[in-house]
Amino acid sequence: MNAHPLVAFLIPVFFVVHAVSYRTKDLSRVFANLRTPAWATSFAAGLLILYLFAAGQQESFIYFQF
Amino acid sequence: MTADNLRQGFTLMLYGLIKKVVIADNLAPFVRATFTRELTTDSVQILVGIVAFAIQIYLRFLRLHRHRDRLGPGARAPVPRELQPSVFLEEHHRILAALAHEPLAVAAGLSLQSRSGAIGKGERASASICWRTMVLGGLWHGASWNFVIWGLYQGVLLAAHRFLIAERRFLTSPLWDPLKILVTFYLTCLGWLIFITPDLDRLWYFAKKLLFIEFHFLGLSPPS
Repeated sequence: MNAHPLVAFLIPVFFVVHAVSYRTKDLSRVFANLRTPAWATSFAAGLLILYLFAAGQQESFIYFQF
Repeated sequence: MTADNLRQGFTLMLYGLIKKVVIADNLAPFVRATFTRELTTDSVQILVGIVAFAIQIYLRFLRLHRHRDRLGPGARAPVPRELQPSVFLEEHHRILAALAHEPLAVAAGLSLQSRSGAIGKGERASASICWRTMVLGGLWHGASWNFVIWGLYQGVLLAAHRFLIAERRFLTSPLWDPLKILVTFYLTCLGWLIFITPDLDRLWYFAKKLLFIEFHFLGLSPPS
């Protein structure tokens, strides 16, 4: 666990994200209905998360990581 | 195509990417380190590792279910043909489909015939077909005893649930739901342990650690 500090953060994040998306009937529709500047900001924030925390190699992106 | 649909499409893609690339793929090294390298003696790490693997599996296959739900029966597909789950399954799980389709159909047919109170001949046959099908499904994942045991385990769970709980209408009160969710998740995680552990020695070791979780603070340890 000590060698993988991100794990202790990601598992609770998953449960929170899952609970929110489960309770919200259609989360993507909620985002799509935002006004364009708000949607663009949230989309850019998502891209930033992807850029900062993406793991794995481009070549093996499509495969399950064992 | 409207601006809303376009925004929703981009949002879905980004959401799926974050779940797969950020959450699932970041959990992978930890899962790998827990189950395929040196044996850890820490029950908590095994427990966290198997939960992490369950999350990985869930996030990997989540999109398929979502697409299927979004399409609905008979709906006009808003996604290209090669991205449709039915086509994906048809193309990538052809062997499994060929192995499982007929026995599953027979099992379903037998089950429909026997909706009486006690477990009858038809239900027993249906349960038997259920676990045999799942063993074949497990073996489809690779030539390893782990997959055979995993398939058998899934088949027994399915049959037990179907005939001891679902058809008997056992524990139907909503008060039981938290316990049922907890037990189902625990049993599912045990299944994933069978699936991911590379050999039987490790499987036995990890299973002991997971079944008899060590409570160091109580001075208890699993049987050797």
